[in-house]
Amino acid sequence: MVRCFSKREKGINSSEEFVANNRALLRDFNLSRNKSLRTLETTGKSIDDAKGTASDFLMTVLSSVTSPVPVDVVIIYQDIHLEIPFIYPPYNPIMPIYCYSLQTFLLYQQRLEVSHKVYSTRGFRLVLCADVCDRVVERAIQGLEDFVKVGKMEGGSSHFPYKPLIISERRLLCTRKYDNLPGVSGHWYGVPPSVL
Amino acid sequence: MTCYSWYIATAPHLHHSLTIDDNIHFSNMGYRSFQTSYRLGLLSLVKRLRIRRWPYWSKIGVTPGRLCRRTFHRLSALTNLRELGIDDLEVSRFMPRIQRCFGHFSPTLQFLALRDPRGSCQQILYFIGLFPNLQDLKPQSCSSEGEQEITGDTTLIPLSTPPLRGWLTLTCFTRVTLIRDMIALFGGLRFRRMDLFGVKCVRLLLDACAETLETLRLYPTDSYGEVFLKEREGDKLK
Repeated sequence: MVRCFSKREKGINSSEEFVANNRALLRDFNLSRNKSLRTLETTGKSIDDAKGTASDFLMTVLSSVTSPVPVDVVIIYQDIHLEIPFIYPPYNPIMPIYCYSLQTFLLYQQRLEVSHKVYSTRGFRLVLCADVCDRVVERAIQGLEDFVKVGKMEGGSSHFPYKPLIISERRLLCTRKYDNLPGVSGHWYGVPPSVL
Repeated sequence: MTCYSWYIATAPHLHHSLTIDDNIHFSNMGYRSFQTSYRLGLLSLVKRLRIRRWPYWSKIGVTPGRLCRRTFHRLSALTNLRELGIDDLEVSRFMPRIQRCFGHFSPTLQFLALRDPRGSCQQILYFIGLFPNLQDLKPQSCSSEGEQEITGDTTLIPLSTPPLRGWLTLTCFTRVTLIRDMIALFGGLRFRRMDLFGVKCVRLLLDACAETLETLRLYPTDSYGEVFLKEREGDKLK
């Protein structure tokens, strides 16, 4: 796999400027001492929820990374955000991929735009990760590939010098309806949905 | 014969996870299925156990009286447990015999999730120290409210130092003392991956894992991040 990272002059300057303007945020989220950091992850849902501040937050955090190793920025997409109705039967396995709603597509485009903006701070490899149940992995991957294709045609991801990498994180389906991962459940009140 | 083959192939998957709802009002499906699994000798197949408080707004946590009365002698049948999650564990009420209740998980347990554990930091760390092979840790909603440090607790030394080289997941976590004591008692932190949301001691954690951290999961909606972003916007306006 070819890793393509570029440190553009413009990017470095804007990064320094940004660090100067975000000292308060960097008091907590300064990653300059974490020399072995390889991956910075976030969720598509939290980017949506943060609206305009998502790119500022990510730019500030990413600008503090001094690790010599190339960094991957991973955006995680969960079942519900990929419009995979795995919880609600009847699940239709032959439902075509291209039936995502316009709203989902627009949200996806917004997330990519955030990534484009952040890319100017520091070169990174963009990774889209489908965090879905085992049986819908192929479908989720296909959906993300379709989004990238359509986004490129619309001029979205064409700003990236490379195609985002698409991966999946397989998850076993619960065997009983009240089973779930320890520490993960809708009943964990007080926890915002973007974290679950 | 075919049915038996199917059963053998599927049983480990079917019984991989078990959730017990610690219902204060009536005996429920969780306990019933636990008892059934015990009777049929299936508990050795369980790799993931969650003891969940139900209803979730109940103030009563998991105490020795409630847990042990129903399940104590059966918990030892969970010989291959890898992941354990407990809501509102009243750690202080289990002391000093907590090892008798949970110690048999020590050879296999690798993941521990504790939602709002109750007790002093030393007691919680003593509980964590019961599992010498623990890699991933997920304390959640640990607020410093109601935290009662007992003077005698300072002599409570964890029985082991778990490796803790996997995921540290902290959500809505403000109990900074727990992290400080963990660093002191376990000789530092060595997590490779961290997932942080609404955590008060991000700086402390990032510094403690400076040499080992490879993956960091953050959220632009992080409440502490938002506070700082608002500060920045305020500075600009000035």
